[in-house]
Amino acid sequence: MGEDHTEINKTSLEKELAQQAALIKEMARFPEMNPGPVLRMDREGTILLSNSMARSILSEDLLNKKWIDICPGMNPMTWQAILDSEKVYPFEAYLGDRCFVFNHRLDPATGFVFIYGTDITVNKLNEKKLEEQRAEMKELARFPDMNPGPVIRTDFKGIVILSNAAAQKVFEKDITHNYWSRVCPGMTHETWAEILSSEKVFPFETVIGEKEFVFNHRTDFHSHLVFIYGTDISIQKLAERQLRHAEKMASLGELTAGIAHEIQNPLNFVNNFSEVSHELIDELQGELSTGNLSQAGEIAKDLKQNLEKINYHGKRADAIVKSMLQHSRSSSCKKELSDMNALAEEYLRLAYHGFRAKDKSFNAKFETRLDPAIGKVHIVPQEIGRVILNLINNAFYAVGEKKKQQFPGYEPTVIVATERFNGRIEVRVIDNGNGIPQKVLDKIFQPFFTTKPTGHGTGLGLSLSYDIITKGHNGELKVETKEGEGSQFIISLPINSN
Amino acid sequence: MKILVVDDEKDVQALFEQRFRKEIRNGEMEFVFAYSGEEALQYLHRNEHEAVLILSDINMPGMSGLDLLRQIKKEHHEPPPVVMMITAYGDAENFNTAMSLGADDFLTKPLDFSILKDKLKAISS
Repeated sequence: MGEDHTEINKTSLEKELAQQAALIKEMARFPEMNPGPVLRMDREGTILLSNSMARSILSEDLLNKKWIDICPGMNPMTWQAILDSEKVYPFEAYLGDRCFVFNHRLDPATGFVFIYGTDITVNKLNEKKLEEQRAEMKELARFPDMNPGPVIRTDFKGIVILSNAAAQKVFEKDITHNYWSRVCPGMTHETWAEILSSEKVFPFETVIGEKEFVFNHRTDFHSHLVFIYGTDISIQKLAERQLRHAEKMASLGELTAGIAHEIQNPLNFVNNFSEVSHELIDELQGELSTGNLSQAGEIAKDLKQNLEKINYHGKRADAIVKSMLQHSRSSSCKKELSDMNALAEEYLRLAYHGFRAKDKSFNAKFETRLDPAIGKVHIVPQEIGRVILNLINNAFYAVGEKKKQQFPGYEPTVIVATERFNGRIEVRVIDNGNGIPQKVLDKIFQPFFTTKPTGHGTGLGLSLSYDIITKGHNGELKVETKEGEGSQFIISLPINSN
Repeated sequence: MKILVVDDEKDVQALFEQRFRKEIRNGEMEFVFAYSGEEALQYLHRNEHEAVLILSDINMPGMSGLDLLRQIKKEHHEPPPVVMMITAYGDAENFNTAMSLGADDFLTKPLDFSILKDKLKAISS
């Protein structure tokens, strides 16, 4: 058995040698065609021939020089080994910041030594990185108990074959021999399949008890094992939630002035109509006492109309207060069938009056183009409302900035449009501001990215909006923009987003 | 006396018509209504010299009451119509801008109709 094995090795080696010899012979004929350095020397190592690549990396003057003096690290012992070797003899040498391998081959027929060099700097770097990674993994694998976080190892079926002390503590039991998908909350067969086919580290976030963890899965295709390293991210997650709440509150602050105005208007009507009704009753009594029944009838009609108006404006104020409360609520709310057109209209008014209240000189045209066929949509109205509000606020900001540049004839305009087609509904917020420069377009949905001056924006608005639309509602948030002409943000939602 | 009321809230019409019921009935005052600055300007172009008094809200979408005031004072010279501004934001900045643009009076919401009635009567007499 052992002998057979050597036999095979020997023949394949001979075959390889023959191939290499043929290749070298071919190349020797055209040393200039070779992209790497090529040299030829006698048994004493005196250089007889070199191509221009060799001269450019080693020295311009190579003829009749000793290879031992030219090649860094080369010494008489190695030279002897090259002469004694029946195979191609590779020798690695560093020239400046680059690394070359010089393949030496003694041709027994001519007695010449042929040298073919290859730049292996990139390979070396990768090798070094790989080695570091291997060392790190080896270190962690050797002392899993030293790792403060849970360390787990499973086979490709997902059965836990090793877990450290921290893992036992997190799961409150020894999870060895259990299926990882049954132990790790939220892990599904689909996710496991994704992990097994992933060539990169696969992070998976989950909640265990009161703590939140991210488990980084690394699939090793050689050993057919999955290495899992967990980290407690409860504190980061808490900070993230607090930040979201702060952003919510900040946007509420921006809204307050708009809300005050929006409530003041209906309240004025409630007061005015009740006052005038009070007077009308006196008049009604006067008309009745003089027997002028037709006039009395007219007044009664007005009185009824006034009560309807009082009721209408009272409800209007009520709705505004309710939506403000919903906006500030921090817990996530349930999806319900909601009127998207009403939502868009309400937040457009709030945003407009908010801007007007903050900056008296601010003015812009705003209009709605609402598709009456849009129907009711299954959404979390407060969350979608926040997204719409955020987009409208940005739009008003954009047209306000452009207005400051005082282009003649510029009319700042913000349009909110809704449309239903192909089983989706779209809400578009369109402005004719300055547009978004191409170089920042990739960053606008990143958290903390803002183009507003310090203190004027948290840089979280669009990032949170993106999460609400994509993660919360399985939709898309897209942007179309043209520098100098304006932007258009498009919320696209499937009609049955569950 | 013809009075043009400009406000984006449509219910002001019912309110004015009831508050000035007597004055309208005995022909002392006539009210017309516009729901935006643009609409008000169109009315004034069509019916030149008809409205002698304009009551305008400041805070309206599109053309604001201050823009309207500026236009009226620029275009209509003889005889200059009386323009009274009404706003929910009774701040100094709005007041100063309105006055520098030539507003004849400045009232804040919620309107005190008895004061407004006295003012209108003083102008008409």
